[in-house]
Amino acid sequence: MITLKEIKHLEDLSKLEFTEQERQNFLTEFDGIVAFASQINNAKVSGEDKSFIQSINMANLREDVAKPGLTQAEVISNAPSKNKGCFSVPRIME
Amino acid sequence: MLELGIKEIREKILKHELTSEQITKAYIDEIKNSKLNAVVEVFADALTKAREMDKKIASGFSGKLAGVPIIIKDNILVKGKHASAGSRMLENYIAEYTSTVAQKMLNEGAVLFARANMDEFAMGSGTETSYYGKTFNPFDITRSPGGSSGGSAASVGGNLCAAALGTDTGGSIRQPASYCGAVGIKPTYGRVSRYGVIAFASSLDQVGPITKSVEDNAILLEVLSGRDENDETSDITPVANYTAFLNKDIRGMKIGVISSVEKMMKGLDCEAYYNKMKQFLTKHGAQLVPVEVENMELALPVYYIIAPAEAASNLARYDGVKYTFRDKDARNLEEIYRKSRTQGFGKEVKRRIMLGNYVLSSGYFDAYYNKARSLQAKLRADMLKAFNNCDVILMPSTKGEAFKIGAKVNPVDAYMEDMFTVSANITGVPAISVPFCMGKNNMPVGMQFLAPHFEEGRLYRVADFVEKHKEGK
Repeated sequence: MITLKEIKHLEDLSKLEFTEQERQNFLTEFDGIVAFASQINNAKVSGEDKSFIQSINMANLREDVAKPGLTQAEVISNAPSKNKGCFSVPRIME
Repeated sequence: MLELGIKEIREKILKHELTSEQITKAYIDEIKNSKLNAVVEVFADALTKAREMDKKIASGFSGKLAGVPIIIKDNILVKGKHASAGSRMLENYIAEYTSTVAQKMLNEGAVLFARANMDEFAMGSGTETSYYGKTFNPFDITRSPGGSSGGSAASVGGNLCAAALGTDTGGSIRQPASYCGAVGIKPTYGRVSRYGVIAFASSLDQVGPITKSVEDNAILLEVLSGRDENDETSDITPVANYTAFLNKDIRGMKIGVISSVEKMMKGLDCEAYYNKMKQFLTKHGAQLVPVEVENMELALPVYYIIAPAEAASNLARYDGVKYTFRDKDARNLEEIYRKSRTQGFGKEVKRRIMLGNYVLSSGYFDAYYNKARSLQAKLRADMLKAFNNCDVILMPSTKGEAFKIGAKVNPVDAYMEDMFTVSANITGVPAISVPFCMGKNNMPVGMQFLAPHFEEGRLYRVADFVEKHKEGK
């Protein structure tokens, strides 16, 4: 059983905010989902190599040669707030 | 002419029986009159691009997709165009670069004229979680088109385009294709570049075509496939000539059937359609071979651990600082993060972020994430072994016909939609859904075939045969 305290902790980790009502709904839903995921607990596996990666034949890394990428203006073009070519946020030190 | 596919449209354009502008305009008009809500936006320059392509064709260009109007899912970037992944978070996002898949299609002359609705960040199985509202099934407006590529599949099934691109992380191409009477393939992981595709679960996501015929699908996948140095997980295996696998018979082909999958079908509508497919295959000279893949029923819980874990990490980038959306009331940095994410993400996305952070948090990491990865390794090994004894594996694509809109109230119920599709994502193998018959409610039903890594050609061989010889053909 997942607790309200755990839900609040996950909310912090996830940088999300729920209302009390949403948290209560979440608690019920989450129990169902976690129970569903917990089906794997009974399965026996031993010594499987879980370090595998999905691709089979990855190329060698490409040559370390600089080539044009996005410009500074392009990189910040979608920022909700920008200032002198930088992402802009409220002052963090008083 | 709206029902035409890639091959026919290209041929007609090259023979001057049709122009790209005419067919693009016809689709745009159809979209304007459509009640499906399959399309989020028709690009403002669509007809200009079509006219430019007509000129290029007049001067001798004959690319594999010359003049063909194609719709892309709303998570695929084209420079200068909006791409929002069905989310309020990215409502105003404009791509600064073009995805490799879009560029490859443009190089072959495609007219990318619209973007299709989808479940928010591809998280859903009904195209019901989009910020832009629900999409409806072209065969019955009271039913879901499936998801998350429901807008793409409904556009193909509803003749709003020649073909569409989808993405598939747990079944998001094959399930909606099955529900909308279309052909959909999830290629081998690494076959198609993910560069410029908005990430959900990076180790499972693949782009693939949703088309009106198997041949169109083969044509389009051939264009999309190949190594891309901008995606280090794209594979160097040479791309096969997929159309060379068409118009063959299936005599002697070994079709694997998995008893644990047959158990999963008990009590579901798909069992009858699956049995009908088995009869069809044997009647035409294929051989059914029982193969075993242990723990198939656990592929789904494994998926719902791994995919949210990756999603929670991938979606951390949406912080109210970099990507367009920021909550207006946020007064400090912490509030910018929290309030922007709380306002910008929908319910299902938040649920999966929470679930992902849960399975990754200390105390649960071993029990969930590590255990899931071990099971994934085992499933993959078993699947590879199974292919020693058969050419392809047969499975249903879906539990049955498309469900009624609003029928999935409980999240776990909705997750069950992927029960037959996730194993291909978890093991990385390619899988295709091909329309097979009409179900008891007169809705289309697709059947699924899986092949070993990079053997998409086998899928096209058997799917093409099914398409051409199934009942009613």
